[in-house]
Amino acid sequence: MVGTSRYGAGAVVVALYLFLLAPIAIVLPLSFSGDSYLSFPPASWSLRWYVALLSHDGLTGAFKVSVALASVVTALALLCGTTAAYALARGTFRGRDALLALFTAPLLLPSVILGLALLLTFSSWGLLGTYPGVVLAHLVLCTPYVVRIMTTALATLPPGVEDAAATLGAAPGVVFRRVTLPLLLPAVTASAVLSFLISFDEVVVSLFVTGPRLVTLPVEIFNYVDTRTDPLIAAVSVVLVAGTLAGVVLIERAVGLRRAVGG
Amino acid sequence: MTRSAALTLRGVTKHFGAAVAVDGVSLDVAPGSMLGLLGPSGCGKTTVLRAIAGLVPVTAGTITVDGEDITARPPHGRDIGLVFQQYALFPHLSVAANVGFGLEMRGVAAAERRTRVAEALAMVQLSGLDGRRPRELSGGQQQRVALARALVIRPRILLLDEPLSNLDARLRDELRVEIRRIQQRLRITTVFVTHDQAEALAMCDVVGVMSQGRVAQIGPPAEIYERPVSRMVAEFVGRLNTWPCEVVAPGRIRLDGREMPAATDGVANGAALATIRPHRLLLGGAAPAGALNHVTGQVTHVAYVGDLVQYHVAAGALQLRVEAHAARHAETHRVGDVVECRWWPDDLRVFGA
Repeated sequence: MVGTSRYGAGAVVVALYLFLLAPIAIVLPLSFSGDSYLSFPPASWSLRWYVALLSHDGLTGAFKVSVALASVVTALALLCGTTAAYALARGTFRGRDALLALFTAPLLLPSVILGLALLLTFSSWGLLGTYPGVVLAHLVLCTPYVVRIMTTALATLPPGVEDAAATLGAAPGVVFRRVTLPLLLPAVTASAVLSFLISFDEVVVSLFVTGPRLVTLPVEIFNYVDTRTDPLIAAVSVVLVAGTLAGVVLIERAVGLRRAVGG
Repeated sequence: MTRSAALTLRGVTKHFGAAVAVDGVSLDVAPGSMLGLLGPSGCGKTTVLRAIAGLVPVTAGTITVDGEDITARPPHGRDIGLVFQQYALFPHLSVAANVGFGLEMRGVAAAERRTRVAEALAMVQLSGLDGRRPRELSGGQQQRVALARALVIRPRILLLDEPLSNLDARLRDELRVEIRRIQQRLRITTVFVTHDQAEALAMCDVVGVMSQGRVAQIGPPAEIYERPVSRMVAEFVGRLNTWPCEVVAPGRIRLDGREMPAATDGVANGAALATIRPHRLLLGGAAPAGALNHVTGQVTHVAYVGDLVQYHVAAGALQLRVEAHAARHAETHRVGDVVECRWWPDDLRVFGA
């Protein structure tokens, strides 16, 4: 009985993975298609779409914009989110719970509403289509995740370790550097990865606040598939999947993914 | 190894908003001695300890070590070792790095650090575990590491915050003896917070019983146990029979309609409570002849608990709880037996109702 139910559970997991990975399984052969239009299975095989991708200024430019943007947004989100989380977790001021709710509210808001609100606000401030505007918009999306992860991490720090360090002669700055930060490192890593991916992936809000002079990769892809349907998009997808995987592997090597998610 | 320091608290008070956690606590801990702070949870004993460590800023009062006022100093400038109930070891550091942390903060050179860490680990009988991580150790071992970590910096004062509460009974007894042995060898002035009366009485030179943010009584363990100043202290440090009575004159009470001598210690005439410890009630032949108070009653319940036999005796309106040592040739009684129960008058202590 136990054996059967375990095999049953295993089968469900396999099915779920297949369901999640199926699109990627189709995209991969499509990217090596030699056809000029999307069809599955491809009639011929080639690397032409990867070559085309490298020489497509719109996509490569947008890729560079997105990487730079996600890096800046991640750095700022970590800075704002971690300090806010520290204040929220350690402080005992009035309205603390309300503040935490406010900081994490964007998590519950549909992106369309958020995008529209940002569009209305930014248009009157002249921030539409500008770099600071897009950074701000992405910060609104990413910071709540950082605040959420870091407040949880701070709340689950082993009790007394910071006090212990203080009684052993460590000044507050030293306590943070030698005890708090090392213990928070897995959470910082997780927040950084999540923040980078959210910023890099963001379509809806970006559609509202980017302009012709500043286009992120997801927006560029969105615009591209609006007008054309060729395997170039499959090649882009494979590059993105490979890039994300490489990132995950790097983190796994650096801090261990199991530690990063708190295992 | 350690120079002994005197610790003095004067009028230490701590408010948390409107709540008064500690209310004017004054204490003197003699150099090299061990003070036990005993009390129920929420009595303020841990807040006093954290105030001494500097982890809780006091609302009023002063804390001095060897005459030097440290009230305003931050915890990292106090030179006070603290051992926590939950060990609070640094999980990301090895045992050796945990113990060496305080030395590193003091700028002790690596070579000397290694020697002193090894000494400290030997003192708590953990030599050879230097490279382990805290999570690879048992609870008892972790608390030994925490003790070594607090002592290796040779602090002026050692504070122990319920260090044995998370350990099982056998380990608790073992570590209790060991902490006391190390404390006496180093002659380090120590404050030990606990809610376990046996722990406080057995380990400490002086015991302070706290209640509602104040020190209810402070003195040597025997004095606290034998001559408690209030019913609260008497009840907290051991089992107790409590009966309503009436004080008729200094040293005389009326109990269940009979007049008898008792220790009234200044309790005014009128309604009061008479108390006596169960093992100070002597049954039948166990009682020596002499000027003893006595009542006659019937055994209603017998519980054999190994080293003790506990009896319930009904004598008139009084319910007596009696404890007798289960010695090999001791007289035993059964339910229904009519027994004579005696006690020394000064064991019957009277408190205001």
